[in-house]
Amino acid sequence: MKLKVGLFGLTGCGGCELAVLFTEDILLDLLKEINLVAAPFFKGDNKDNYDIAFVGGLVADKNDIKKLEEFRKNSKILIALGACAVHGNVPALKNFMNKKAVEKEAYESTAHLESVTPGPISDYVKVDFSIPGCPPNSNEIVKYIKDLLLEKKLVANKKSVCFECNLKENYCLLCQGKECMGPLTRAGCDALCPSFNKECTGCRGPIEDGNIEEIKKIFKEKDLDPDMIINKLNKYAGLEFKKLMKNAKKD
Amino acid sequence: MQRKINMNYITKIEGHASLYLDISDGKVKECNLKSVEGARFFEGIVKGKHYTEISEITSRICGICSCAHTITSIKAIENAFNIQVTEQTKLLRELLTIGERIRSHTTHLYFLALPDYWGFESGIAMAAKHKNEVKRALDLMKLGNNLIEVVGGRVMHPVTFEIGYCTHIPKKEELDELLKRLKLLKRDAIKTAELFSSIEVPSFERETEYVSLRQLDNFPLISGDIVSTKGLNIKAHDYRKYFKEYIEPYSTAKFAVKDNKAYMTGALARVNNNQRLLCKEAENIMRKSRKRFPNHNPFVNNFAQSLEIIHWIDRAIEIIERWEFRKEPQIEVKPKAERGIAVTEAPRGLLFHDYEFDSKGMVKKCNIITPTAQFLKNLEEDIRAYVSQNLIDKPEKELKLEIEKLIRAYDPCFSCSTHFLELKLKKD
Repeated sequence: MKLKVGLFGLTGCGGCELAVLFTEDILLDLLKEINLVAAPFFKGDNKDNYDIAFVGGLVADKNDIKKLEEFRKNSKILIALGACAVHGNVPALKNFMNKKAVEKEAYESTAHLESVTPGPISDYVKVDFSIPGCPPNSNEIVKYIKDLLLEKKLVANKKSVCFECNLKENYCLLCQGKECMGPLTRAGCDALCPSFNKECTGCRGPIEDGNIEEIKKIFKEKDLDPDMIINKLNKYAGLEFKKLMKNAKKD
Repeated sequence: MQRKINMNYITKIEGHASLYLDISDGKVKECNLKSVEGARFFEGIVKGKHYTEISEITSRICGICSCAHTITSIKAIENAFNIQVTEQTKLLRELLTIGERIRSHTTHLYFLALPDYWGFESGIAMAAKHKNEVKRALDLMKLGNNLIEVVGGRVMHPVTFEIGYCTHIPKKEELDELLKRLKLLKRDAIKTAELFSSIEVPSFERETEYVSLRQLDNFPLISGDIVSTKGLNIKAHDYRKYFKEYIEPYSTAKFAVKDNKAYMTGALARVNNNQRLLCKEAENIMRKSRKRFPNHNPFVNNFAQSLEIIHWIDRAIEIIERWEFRKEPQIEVKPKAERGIAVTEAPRGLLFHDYEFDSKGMVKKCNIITPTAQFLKNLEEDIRAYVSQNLIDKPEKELKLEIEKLIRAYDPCFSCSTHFLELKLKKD
């Protein structure tokens, strides 16, 4: 029996579902190994019984909650796919602002909306594994699908982007005085941004043991604004970051 | 007889939406195309943010057209701060956008639109019988994605484009390899256009206003004036005088109108306004097809998209062959308390970004109008007309399929306008 897989999106940009379609060369081979029973983005015939559900997007309204609960009920393993599902991503920035004011900038009237506090899917259902990133890396998705096929335990990458950046022998952007989030951000992207001379923006969310105070010190030494770190971390994984800060204080 | 048709879960579109139709006495009384995507409030989220963060945030509006949002926001910011960029930066932005155009159109044509015509539930399901076509689609998508990666660093949410400059210049060997692929796959783009030329689309016409950009020297992409088939010819910064957004209580997507009327934007509008600027090969296929432009059949939008793929492959070849890319100095940016507006052609049509800054370069106000918000009203009107003219007595299954075909011909993106079409049908 082939593994039955569903690929879904809640509120979001649809990029995580595309990241699966953009496996291009190996897509057809991949689809020989798994049975993609639901993927409403590019399938007309969608079943509601699957072993594994990949869920992209965040919870932003009541409809999302309803759908998410169904995905959970219909699946054995539920995997959060991408920064929105894992961390809430950019739309969850609203939690750090005046919510009513934010809504008013976008819509003159909000009476017709059924918005809820925007957040990651783990706020509403049990999540078995998370693949972070905005967008998630297609190679990483394929790697985890292979692990599932081999019935291997899925293991999250706990290293920081700096680790991968060092392996690529990139010239450190933080040393050059750029606001790089590499030391605090989870690896798995092959240090993509720094390899293009662009500072890491933290899209994969924070590592658990990141030393924020130390990085703040480096920022000050380099004449950068230490508060910028908070701004940057809030952008993709503000809620997660807040939790980590709280736990660090307890310690 | 009254029929109330609720179409929930319309699949194979970007985002989530549903349609409500009320048909009585042989007429469409009500037609509401509703986005059921949760609102993400991007315009509110960028408020108070530093100008260096804007393109990174707004790119997240959409996965399939993140490059368009990136470039449009950067251009608007540059307009506010009066920053001129080099020819090379302009060409790199063009290459990025071309990559996205090839990728977006191919994905839509083969994976979202074609299955309807060939009677499959999905593009993937077509593979068993039409392996060559599916392989062709995947090759073209990969070509677009490679172009985006080489220039922008990442297939979605590109990372190398900053205000005034690019952080990375593509390597010669990567461009040489791309050039080979572009030349090789031009054949596949031509086959794609021949395929969509041969597909018989429903005979349905409804003239509307077709709005697009126009450039003097090339088919429009990321610059030009706003023109229409009804004589509009304005600069981007005057858009507010003509285009207005409003809310319908049934949808989280916003609707835009011009002079209070619905209009069409996207590939068909671009070809209707700029057909003489298409490259030779695209023009030849346009001539050979029995389709005449300006064309008023919305289903022909798919053929227009396929013509654009050929044109943009041709243009990418020209750029890479002509230009020697080299490292350039970073431009110094001085923020000003000014307003900046930019309009570009995203894959699905006109895309407006409009920002007001304070003297520190923090956003005071932001307005973004996406292509889907602009053509939604027109799509509703087309559904009304198409149902009234062609489908009024058709059985439920056929009626739904035809409406879905029409919706998919537009290639709507409900992620952008707010994201999944749901189809419900209820009969009294």
